[in-house]
Amino acid sequence: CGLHDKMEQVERVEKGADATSKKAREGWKLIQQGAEARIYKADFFGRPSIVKERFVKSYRVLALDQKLTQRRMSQEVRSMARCRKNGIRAPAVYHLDPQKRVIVMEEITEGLLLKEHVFHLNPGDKDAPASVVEAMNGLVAALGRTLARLHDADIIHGDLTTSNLFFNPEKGTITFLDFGLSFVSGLAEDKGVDLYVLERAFLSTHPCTESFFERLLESYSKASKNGKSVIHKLDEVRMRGRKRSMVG
Amino acid sequence: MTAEQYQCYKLEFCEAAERWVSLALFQGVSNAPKLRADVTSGKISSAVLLDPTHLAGGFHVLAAVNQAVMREEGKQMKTKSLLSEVIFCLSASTNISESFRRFGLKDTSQSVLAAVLHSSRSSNEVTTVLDQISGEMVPLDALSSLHSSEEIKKVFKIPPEESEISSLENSVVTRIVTKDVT
Repeated sequence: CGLHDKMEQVERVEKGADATSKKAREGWKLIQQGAEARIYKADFFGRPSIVKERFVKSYRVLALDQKLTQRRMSQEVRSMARCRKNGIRAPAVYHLDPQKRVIVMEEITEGLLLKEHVFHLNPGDKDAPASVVEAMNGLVAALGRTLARLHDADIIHGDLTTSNLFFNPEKGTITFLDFGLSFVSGLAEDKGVDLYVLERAFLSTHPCTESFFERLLESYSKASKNGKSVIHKLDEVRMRGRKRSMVG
Repeated sequence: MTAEQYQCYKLEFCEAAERWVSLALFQGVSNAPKLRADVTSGKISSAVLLDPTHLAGGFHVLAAVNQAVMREEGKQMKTKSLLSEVIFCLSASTNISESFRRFGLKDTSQSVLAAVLHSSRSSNEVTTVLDQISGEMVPLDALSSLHSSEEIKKVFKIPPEESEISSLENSVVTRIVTKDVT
């Protein structure tokens, strides 16, 4: 009897995953396909929304795949909710369907992706005007402060890149996006790694911005409750990183 | 009554082809006890009648209806019927009786928010239900003057930091939708 229920559930999951994929095309607009999920733009009762539909990884044992996906989804929405409770901007969650592996969330529209904003400023240019320098300084200071707040709430973003950050230039506010790899942790090591990921992503996407990133870390350190140990860990992680010369 | 005053929405995230919900708000309601009796007896069987005090907005109700339908289709309901599941889904707590007490229509309720579930866009079910309510139908926006923001923030435990970065509705909806995992 228990086995029969399980079989029925398995069937529903397999059908569910396919049903959404086929139905997904109606009125949903695919905007990104990653390794974990497809991202769509959709309308949720009149509100512009983002739909994140995770795939079934058929090479995995179904029961394990379900468990893993559920856990990722829970962590994702839990982190978003935790951010908001701490006054940190993150999308609101409009709908959650664990069986269909779907999260529907608020689409952030006020502002630009930080990546776009920095591209427009072009701060890496040695002839960048004072206004650009000023704007960048303001931006990295805000980002440093917001990251400090995030980490003080023991939230690790897990995938900090300038494509996962939204910036509102008018208000000077940062909104975090894509909590797919996010989790809760108080460890300075995890926070250090979070910053390291951002550093590598930031510097490779926006060359010659090292001095601005330093300012970001200063702003972080000042605003953070545990800044010193986190930066310390960051230094340690930097030493460990990839393509390090194995000398001394 | 004019069609513009009540709002009709199609549920897009469910498996069934056509599921609709219509929301209507009434003020100066004089027959709340009778309405409650009608719901209990089954005379009103396709609508949930709610007390607006703790409703953050129409969106709060729509998100709850969406969740309830999802649970019904996935055979994961915590209550006995779709309508009671809607009431349960309005709440961020897992206590069923608490959600009924907070969101369900009371004998003393002077305003009512009716959420009618139907299976085609224009349906007699909507007018049949709405005709039973003795009160003045008002636009859904009036909900902001019929609810208590303070009470809502208290019940849903929304801290001031969050109110600075989010609308009341978004804060409430995020909580009700993630209650199983937070």
